[in-house]
Amino acid sequence: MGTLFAIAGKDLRLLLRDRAGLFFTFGFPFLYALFFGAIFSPDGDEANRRIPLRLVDLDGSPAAAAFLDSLAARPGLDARRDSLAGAESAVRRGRATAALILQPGFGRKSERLFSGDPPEVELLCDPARRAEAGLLQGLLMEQGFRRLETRFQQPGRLLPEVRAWRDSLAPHAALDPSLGPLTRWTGELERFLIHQARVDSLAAAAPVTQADPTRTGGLPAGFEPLRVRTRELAAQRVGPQSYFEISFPQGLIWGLISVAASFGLSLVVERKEGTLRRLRAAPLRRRQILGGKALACGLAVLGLMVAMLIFGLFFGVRAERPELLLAVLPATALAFTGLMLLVSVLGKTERAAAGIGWSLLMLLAMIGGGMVPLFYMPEWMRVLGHASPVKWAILAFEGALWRGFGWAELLPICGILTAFGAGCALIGLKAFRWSET
Amino acid sequence: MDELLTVEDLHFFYGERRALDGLSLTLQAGEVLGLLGPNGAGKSTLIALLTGLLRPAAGRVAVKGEDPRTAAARAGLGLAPQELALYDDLSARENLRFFGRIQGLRGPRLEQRVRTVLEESGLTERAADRVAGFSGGMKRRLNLAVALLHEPAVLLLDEPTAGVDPQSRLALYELVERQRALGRGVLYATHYMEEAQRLCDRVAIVDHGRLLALDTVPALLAVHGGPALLVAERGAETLRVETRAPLEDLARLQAAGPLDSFTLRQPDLEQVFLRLTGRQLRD
Repeated sequence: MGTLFAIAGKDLRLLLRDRAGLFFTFGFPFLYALFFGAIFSPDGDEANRRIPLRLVDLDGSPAAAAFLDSLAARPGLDARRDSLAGAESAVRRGRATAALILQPGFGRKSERLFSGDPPEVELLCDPARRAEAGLLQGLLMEQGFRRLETRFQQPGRLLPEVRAWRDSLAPHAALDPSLGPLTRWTGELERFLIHQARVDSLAAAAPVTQADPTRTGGLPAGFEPLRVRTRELAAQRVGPQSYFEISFPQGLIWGLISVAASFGLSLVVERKEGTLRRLRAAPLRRRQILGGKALACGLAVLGLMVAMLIFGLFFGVRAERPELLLAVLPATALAFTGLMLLVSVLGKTERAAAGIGWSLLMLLAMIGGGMVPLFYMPEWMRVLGHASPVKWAILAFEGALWRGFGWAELLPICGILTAFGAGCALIGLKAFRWSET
Repeated sequence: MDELLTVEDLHFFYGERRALDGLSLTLQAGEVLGLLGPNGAGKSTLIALLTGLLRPAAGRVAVKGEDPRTAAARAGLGLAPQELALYDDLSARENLRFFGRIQGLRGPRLEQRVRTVLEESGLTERAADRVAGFSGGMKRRLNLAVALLHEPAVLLLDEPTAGVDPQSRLALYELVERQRALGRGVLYATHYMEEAQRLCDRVAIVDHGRLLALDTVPALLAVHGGPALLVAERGAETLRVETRAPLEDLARLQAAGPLDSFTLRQPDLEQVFLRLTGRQLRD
């Protein structure tokens, strides 16, 4: 086992020291994913910055409409009006981060400031996107405080509310002396508002009405400007959220091809330079030498896939079923490690092996959807792509990311990848030669 | 003496081409056996058979009595191939550590052996440098150091001084002589007769896959070297005399007329090869 790791460690070290190889293995896939992800994303960068939000007005009052209009104008949001069913569907399908539902009575409760319950909104959000939901809650509270600010800027409309509150306090203040300061403060506030209304020449217009008996039932609501009730709705995504979810698996494929090519060709180089012969003269078995090489290739493939998945998170590429990756990663690693062993026996010389190996890999990428996404391909080419591990690897990744695959759909694909890798490895081992002659 | 290598009536073909034709030899402990022959004589093929890389068409090869295609037999072999079989992008120390590990060395023992062979090959100062930046001579020394790392009983050195400067060549000779002193057997394939003459206890002369002669250098010279060559100059005239009694022949020439200069060329392995094959070793 120590020998296997010694050979694998040597090969990984050599890979890390080969700058060109390193770029094509790790750098190019990222660039590919970013480039094509960015140019095919419909809204470009703007779409990535703004939170998609659906707005549902179940109240229909002018206050509700004003609240939603004001919210829609916020720069960080991509807010659209929708029906309740439409908004729920958008959240469930992952098309929107959340939906904001203004409940019936929102407008009426908005009119009251010091009595009754605050106006209430419901925030419907995907539990997987709690960070964005938290941000939205903050925005909503800010919006509620803005509403208060607006009310204080209209003293004529606030006066009846203050008088009603004063009237509701009066019977209690007579019984409880501790309410005295609050009663006095209410009187001061009333006088301030009257003064302010006069200053604004609005006092005459302000209707001085008797308190509405319906408004005297509750205790003051304090300054809770808005009550936000959240409800979680797990997203059931169908289709990619962005082109990055298509470009990342494709970019990854180029890295996998590069790993298979560079490790396969490294065996040819070792054969040419005599290091393989030297390894053969050591007390090692063929399976140890080739196993060490395969282990290095497999680890490089796994490392690349994990790095791409982590990097993808920054671009919104998230696995819908992360647990499926436990099968996708090893199956893909096996497929491309087997391919590496096949590439290593494709030509007698380094040049021949490179030419034949790259041609084969490009062909597999071409028919397998590594260059053009599978869904853009004509039917006959999709059928042809069945012969390519590239197609199955992309399908497996997309299945875990956004195609909504379950184990039943994924395991056959992983089986195909594993069988392909095993078949290539068998051919590679059978045709393996220690020297060029 | 212990017989480390045994080759009996060995035959090998590359396709239709015969590469080895009934070759037989043995290598004893504490012996340097030269394998002298031109390029294509079959030296590297024999080494490939001795490392189990190739399978004989007929005949037998054994390392300490065992088939070299078994891992256990190869544990006693140290190979310095004709190609510089090193990883250019690793440092000298990293190369040695890697090859040491695959030979089964671990921990302090590995580090100690790495230090020792670096010192013996004069590469301690450059141990951390990548091999890609080494001169040809340094690479050759490291190539040999790798073969010595696990202290094998048998060293197979295939043209170990090819393309090496005189200083590195001397250092390599010293390394080989040290191995002999330690009781190891060395099979030394070369087409440089000076090396064979200087280093080897016995020399096997091979051509077209056949063993033409195998003996100590003095015995080869005595049997196949022929007479010495006396070359004398008198005025514009150059006189060449093959002689087994050079002093007497020199006196005879001097008596015939005064000589301006003379040289006596003793027979060497070049002449042995010439007489055995009818052509020069470097043809």
